[in-house]
Amino acid sequence: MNRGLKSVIMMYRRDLFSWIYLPWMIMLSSFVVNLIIATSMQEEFTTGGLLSIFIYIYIVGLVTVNQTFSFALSLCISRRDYFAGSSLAIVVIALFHALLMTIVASIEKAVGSWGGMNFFVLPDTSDGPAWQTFFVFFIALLLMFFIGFASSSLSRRFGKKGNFILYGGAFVLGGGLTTIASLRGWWTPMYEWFIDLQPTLAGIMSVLLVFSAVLALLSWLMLRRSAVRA
Amino acid sequence: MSVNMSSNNKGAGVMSQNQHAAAMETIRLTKTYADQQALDGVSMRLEANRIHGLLGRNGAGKTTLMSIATAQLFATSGEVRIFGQNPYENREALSRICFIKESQRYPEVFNVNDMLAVASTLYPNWDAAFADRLVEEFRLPRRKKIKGFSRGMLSSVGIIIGLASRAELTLFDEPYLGLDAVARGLFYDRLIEDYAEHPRTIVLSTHLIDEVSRLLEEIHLIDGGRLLLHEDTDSLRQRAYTVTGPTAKVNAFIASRRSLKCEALGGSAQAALLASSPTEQAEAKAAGLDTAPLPLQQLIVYLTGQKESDREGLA
Repeated sequence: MNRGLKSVIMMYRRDLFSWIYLPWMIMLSSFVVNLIIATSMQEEFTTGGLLSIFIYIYIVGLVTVNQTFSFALSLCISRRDYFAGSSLAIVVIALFHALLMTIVASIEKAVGSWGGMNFFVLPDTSDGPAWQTFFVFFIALLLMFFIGFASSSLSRRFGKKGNFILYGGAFVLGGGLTTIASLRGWWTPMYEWFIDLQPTLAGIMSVLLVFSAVLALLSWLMLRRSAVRA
Repeated sequence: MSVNMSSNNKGAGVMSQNQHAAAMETIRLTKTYADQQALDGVSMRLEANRIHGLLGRNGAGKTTLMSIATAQLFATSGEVRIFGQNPYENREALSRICFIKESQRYPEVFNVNDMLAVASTLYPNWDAAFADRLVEEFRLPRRKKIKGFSRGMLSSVGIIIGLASRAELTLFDEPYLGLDAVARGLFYDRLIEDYAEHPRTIVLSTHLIDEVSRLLEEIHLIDGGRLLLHEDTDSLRQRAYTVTGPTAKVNAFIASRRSLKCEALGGSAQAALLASSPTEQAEAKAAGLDTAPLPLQQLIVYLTGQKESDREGLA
């Protein structure tokens, strides 16, 4: 491993609080609040508290380029090493979180629920075998990170103008298409087409994994041509 | 250990072969922003193993030049060579540079210890003991977040990294903003000592010339995005002088020579000149004028304070 790559990984290692501890602190505080609510409820329920870690990882993906890209470049680290080091770091971080979440989910499955509350076991996603749950968590974390990372790479490369065109364009295009779809009555055929595909969890996860890889590739292509103005 | 030794020896061998190689070279480097021309065809060569002064007023293009040289910014046209190589995405070339930027920002959570850990991983010639000594001398808190540092403390962080990195090409961009006289003195002393023990190429970019001029071996003066002058510091010092005497005599003397500034006070006048020939100052004495050396700081002020039309053909 070359020095530039090692240094980028070191940058992430020096901030374990943001990458490892804080998301669990947020998630566990949600867990505790829900546990208190569970004691006063009669029927079983599933919380959405697990989402907090995915939203958190999206946000750190969003801010990390701002925090570390210009810093790494000013240390004369190549863009390639920055990208490779960041990607490697997030894979390890996602592996760690996914593993821990899978362990806790397995415990939850074994005991049934936490006083009537389901937190880590979600129907049709993390209620299968442990290996499946692990991959669901891992891929979802990776995807959330790279959505944020690609978005901030876009800001790095094209500035405000880039964001305006992307989100403005998506809004206009999306609005136009949904209007046309409603007017022409395309929704029902689209829904039927999707059901006809008989989507499986494995299939959806594979698509999301590919989508993450595409976002990573786009991020790299944008960072490659990004400058740091003094 | 033996592997380390041999690689060091190899490094030294390469260095002595390339004693007169350029550490950094730019060829007609131009950078244009939408609203301004930051660099306008700068061709310069920084010889290896010397201390270079990159001088010029604020906004002259010094930081832009160094940002392009370290592949952080893209040039509009022209080329950059670091030890003969294009630095863009070039690990080999980039690993030999340390660039300390005045406006450097650090990750929010970083303290001095974090920064030293990253630097020791990054720089091949990093001297941890030297860095620790400098942290003590500059009295930096190790565990306080850098985000909350004062201007002077931020400058100290940069200086410590820059010195202890012992990078073959170390660029300091306005390194001592906010530092008091004691800390600045400390920086100059440690720089000279360490440079003597570990020769390397050092670039000091600044608009405060008086204090550093004694450190500089070569001066590159940039103004309005152009290289105005490149000269050995000693030779420049010898060329810059003032003449004092009766106004008429002074005017007669400077009429055919390159005068930078002339001030009359009562019946006498003083003019600042940049000599074109080694005998010029003797000629002034023969003409009955008093001569005195002109401080570099003053010379630079006169040169960069001039109007566009007055400084043709200086470089």
